[in-house]
Amino acid sequence: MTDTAPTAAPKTHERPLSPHLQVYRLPMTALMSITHRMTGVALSAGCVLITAFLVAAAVSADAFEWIKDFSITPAGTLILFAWSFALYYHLCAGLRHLVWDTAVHMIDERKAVISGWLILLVTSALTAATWYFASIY
Amino acid sequence: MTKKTNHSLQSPLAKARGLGSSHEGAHHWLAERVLSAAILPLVLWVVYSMIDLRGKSYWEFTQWLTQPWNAALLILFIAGVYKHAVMGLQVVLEDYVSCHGARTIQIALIKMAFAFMAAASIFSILKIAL
Repeated sequence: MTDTAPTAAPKTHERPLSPHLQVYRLPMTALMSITHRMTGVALSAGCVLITAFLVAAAVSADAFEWIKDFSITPAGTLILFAWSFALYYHLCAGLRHLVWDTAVHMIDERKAVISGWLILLVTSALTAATWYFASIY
Repeated sequence: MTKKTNHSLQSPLAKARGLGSSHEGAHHWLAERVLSAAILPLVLWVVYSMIDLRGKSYWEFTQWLTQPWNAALLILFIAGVYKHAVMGLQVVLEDYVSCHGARTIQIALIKMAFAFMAAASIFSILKIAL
């Protein structure tokens, strides 16, 4: 044991923190980006339901009727509603990606935030319009 | 400078082909984008058709699918959208699964599952339509 302990703590540098997900609130653009991926994965899971529906329709009229009856229950309606929202979101955000891939000058922080809100607005409008037409038809 | 002897039967070009872009990378990137744009009208048509067919009987549904253009468009929708899903899921797995072996197996399983679903869907469409 010696008493020549360092008098000053080792100098720490003000390093930038990595965006630790538990303590860091993602900016709007990052949330839009991860939502595009999550809706994509969810819509891929939806492909299983599409397949199940087509196979059921090919197997028997009873199976078709069962799916039709389920689709108008609250659970079925909720699934279809979430499905339509995810679809329109992924469609709009995907279109923005196509624009970004074609015209690089469309990407900057301000434009990304504005187009992000525009995507949310159009997604909501398309979802509402779809369910409005589905209900009056 | 040391000269490396190529003991493999593969030519240096063939070796490089599997490892990087070497004139192939842009093709996959472009195919993802072109397919995305191509399925857009098909998706809108399916949504419109679903609204149109909402609540209709089994007979009316099968009659609808008997129309050649409906069956053809639905088959195109299945093929295009499932391929798009596979391409997207592959990118997600490549980004988040760090273990190379697990990632390769998962991508292969996804591709097989979607190939099976596409075959089952298209067969079902044809069975109803014909």
